[in-house]
Amino acid sequence: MGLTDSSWKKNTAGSLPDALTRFWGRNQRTLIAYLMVLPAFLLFMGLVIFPLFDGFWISLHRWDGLSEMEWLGFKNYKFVFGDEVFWLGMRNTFQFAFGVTIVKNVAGLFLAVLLNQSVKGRTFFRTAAFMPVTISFVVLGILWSWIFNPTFGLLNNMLSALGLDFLIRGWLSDPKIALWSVMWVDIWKWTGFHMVLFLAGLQNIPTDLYEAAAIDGAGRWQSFWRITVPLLKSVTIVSVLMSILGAFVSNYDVVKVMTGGGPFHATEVALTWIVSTTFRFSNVGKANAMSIILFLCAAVFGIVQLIVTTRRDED
Amino acid sequence: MRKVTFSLMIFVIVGALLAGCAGGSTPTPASTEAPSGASTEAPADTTPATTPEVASADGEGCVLHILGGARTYPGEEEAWNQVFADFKAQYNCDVQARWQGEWSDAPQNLESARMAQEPVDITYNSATLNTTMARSGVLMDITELVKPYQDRFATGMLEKYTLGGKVWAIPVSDSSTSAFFYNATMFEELGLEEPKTYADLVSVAQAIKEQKNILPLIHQGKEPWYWPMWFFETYAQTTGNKSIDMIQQFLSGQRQFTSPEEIAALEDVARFYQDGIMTQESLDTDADSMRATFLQQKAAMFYGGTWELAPLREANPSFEIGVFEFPLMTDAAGVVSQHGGGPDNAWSIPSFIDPANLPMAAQFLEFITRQENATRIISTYSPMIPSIKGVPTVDDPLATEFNEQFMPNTITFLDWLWPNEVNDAVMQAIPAVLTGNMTAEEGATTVQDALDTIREESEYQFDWWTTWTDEDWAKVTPASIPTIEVK
Repeated sequence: MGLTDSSWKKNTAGSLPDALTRFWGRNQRTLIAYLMVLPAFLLFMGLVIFPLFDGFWISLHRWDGLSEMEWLGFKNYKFVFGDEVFWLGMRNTFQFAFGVTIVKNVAGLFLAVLLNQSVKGRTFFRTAAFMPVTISFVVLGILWSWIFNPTFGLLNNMLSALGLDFLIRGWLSDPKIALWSVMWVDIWKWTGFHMVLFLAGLQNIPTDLYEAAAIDGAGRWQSFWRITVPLLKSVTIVSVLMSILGAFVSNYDVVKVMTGGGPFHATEVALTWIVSTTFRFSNVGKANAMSIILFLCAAVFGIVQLIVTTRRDED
Repeated sequence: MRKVTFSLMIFVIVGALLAGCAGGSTPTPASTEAPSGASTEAPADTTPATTPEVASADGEGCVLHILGGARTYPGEEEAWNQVFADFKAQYNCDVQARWQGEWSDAPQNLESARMAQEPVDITYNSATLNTTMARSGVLMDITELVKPYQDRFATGMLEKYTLGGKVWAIPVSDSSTSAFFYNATMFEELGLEEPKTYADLVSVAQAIKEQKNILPLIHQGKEPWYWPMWFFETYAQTTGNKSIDMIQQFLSGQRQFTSPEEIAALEDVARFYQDGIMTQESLDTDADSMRATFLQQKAAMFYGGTWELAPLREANPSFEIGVFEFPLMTDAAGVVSQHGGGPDNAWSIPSFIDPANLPMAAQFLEFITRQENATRIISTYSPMIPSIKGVPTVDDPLATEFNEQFMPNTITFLDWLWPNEVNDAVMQAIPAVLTGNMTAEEGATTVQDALDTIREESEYQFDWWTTWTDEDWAKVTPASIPTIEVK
């Protein structure tokens, strides 16, 4: 550049620290922010992003988890598309996710409206409704397995005592109803959580709207549909999307504890089959391919949630 | 811009939720080198030379690491600790055991340890896992290490862990067989005889229902592992007591699971449900519920393995229990009732053991098969049929009956031969056929499909050892055989 070594050194001597100081001065706030974020970013990259890409890499191999990996390209994805149990599991996963979402939100809203009134023992009932949220799925699964037990179970014995023997079922062994029984436990656990969301939303609705509606001659039912439901729209969207996404990717433990995916795969969900494929069948590559497919499906819900929530923020 | 960043974050978070489900462990460097130059038998030149590498009595700084599932029998962990202490006293070598997870977690725990470079010198094995683990190359061929004391094992025990003529594990356990267990007091009260044939069993079940209004039989059908046991019994009869041969033919591709014998065996299992011996309750009953139902006299019989006896005795020592063999379901001449069984707790040396620890690991395997040490461990299982000679059986009249009457007709559990995928198909098909949700032909087809699938996807081969190259064998064969003390 027309500068000799010595002249360059002369011209730049002492200027680098100055430049750094100036750079720091100009960007101090931004740099501190990045530094603060850095530890979490590194952890996130190491514990989340890397395993995700590693999972994709493994999905391109035949690997039993013990011996050396063998390159397969996208063959594992072809195998997954031909795996009937996986697609049955996907269907059950969708049924589980949408079924529990509808019931949890309707029941949660119902309880929230009920317990938003001035009723005696309101705090007790709110606490009682929320209690199952605090219990782990493993504990709940065992508890409900005993309730559903065909010989000693509370449910069948109660039905028998009430003379309702025609309703007695193999709640977890009849393939037609087993998945619904498992879904019921998820509903029972999470309804209280959605009730709290709706309660928070209800308490943000100004009471004078109801008073004005009453003056205009609106009944309770009309007020509910014309005031409560529209003003709970944002809470409802969040609640619904949270429950869909949650039910989609976290149904493993309850199914595992209660039925293990049986009887004859009737309650198999994608996650239980992925775990079986990994650990029981030692087909780690194919299991990773399944995980990637499930991830892509779940990502759709995540993107919908993102679009809806950001639009709501902008509104 | 914020929107895009947020989008990416959500995408990544969803990915994070799923990443953990994928068993995303760090792979070993991929090697696409497929076994080639297949030989039809294990190469003779892989037998290592014996070296004077004696497990020294002065093992200064020596530590042996054992990896196994959580001990489940009362007093078993204490028994192991005592054996460790005695080993330390004799060979000056500490033994550190990590009892972790269930028995079936052994392969993944071993692999995790290997990838984390944690030392493992002895690992738990089970006949159900042995084929998978040996085929993957994670176990050491211990044939030569065991030779000096192989006569300590009861007849046929070591063979259960021998594949391709090589020993992969040593069983230090109780061996099992399968039987119908019944409430002896109730049978006596009702004047019922032990059924010999299926027709007898139907009559007995009918009498129990009529006179006691309880379940004739309860099965732990919620535990899918136990469904194939029914098939092992019926299949032994429909094949004229050639079930092992025929399953080996099936696994080798010389036979279809949709053959008449397999379909007939599935239909025979379904008869237990159709004839009211087994009921809907059995489909949703786990092990604890089954025992409780039996002990509370809500069911008169159950079918299971000899391992069921110890928990029953512990729960109610005075309960009178009788046993009878699986009833004969055929009139075919010469066919006898055969039961699945075998020793299911075994110990192996990983192929990736630190070579410096091999002499002491080999010595430890020898140590635990000495009669006094084996007795200490196996006695906690209330043994009926110990895998080591000289270990006393439990003081139970049924132990004699099992040894004398059942053991001569006990054959290897078929799920020790077939891979997990096939086992899963069988365990799903049986209750489906039982309840009429699937025909026997459809059930058999799902099993055949399961085998065809793993042939394509995992290149499954029953006699995998015939395709191993010298290089493959070298990875699992000790470089030299240490001389150990055999007492």
